[in-house]
Amino acid sequence: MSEVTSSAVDLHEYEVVYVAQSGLDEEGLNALNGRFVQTVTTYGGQITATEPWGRRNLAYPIQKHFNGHYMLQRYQMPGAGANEVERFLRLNEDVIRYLVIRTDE
Amino acid sequence: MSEYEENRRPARQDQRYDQRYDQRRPSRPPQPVNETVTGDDGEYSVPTEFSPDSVSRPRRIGSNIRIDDIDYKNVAMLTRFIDGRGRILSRRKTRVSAKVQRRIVTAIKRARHLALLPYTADQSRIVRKRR
Repeated sequence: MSEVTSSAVDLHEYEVVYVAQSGLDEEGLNALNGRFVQTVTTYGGQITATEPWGRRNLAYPIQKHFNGHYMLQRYQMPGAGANEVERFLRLNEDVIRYLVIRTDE
Repeated sequence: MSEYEENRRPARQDQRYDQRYDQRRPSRPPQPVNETVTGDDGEYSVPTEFSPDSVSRPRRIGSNIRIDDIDYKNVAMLTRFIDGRGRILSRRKTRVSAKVQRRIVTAIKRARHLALLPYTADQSRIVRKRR
């Protein structure tokens, strides 16, 4: 086991865009985003920017949806928790598509 | 050759040179810009929506690309690098450097994954029919 030299954990910067299914209302979107933010903070992350793009037409249908609610979030988080955030997006049925990228590389 | 002509010649040559110079350096075409939205914490830009009609004919399109502009969110810019069928243009057509082409390809693939750009022409036909 490697020794932990300082309290500062290596934080990485991430950018995620997820597409929520078009059937969700305002309330459902807020709830979904709330759960996403909670997941990030639970694993030691911190949200740095939130950019809702609103409801947009998709360039091609996904699961028979023709439009979706786009949401962009930037956050800093230790690498260990990154898988859990992806897991949350993957298992959530309201999220029809997502993209997570490291922006500090 | 008269004295008059001798004096005239340099001036005329300069003029012609200026004209040729202007032809070589056409003014920069207007760049498509993403829509800017003011949110809770500052301004940010939202990608423009893809429309199949905005795909134009390529001709040395990559000459004024800045490497920082290449981003999967910059749909208006990426649209110039796909043809009418949604295919990524080859380096032979885009005339960009290998470095720039690699980044453009990655950006287009990310944008496709998020349904910001289509994979095939068939897909944009389906969507257009629905509207």
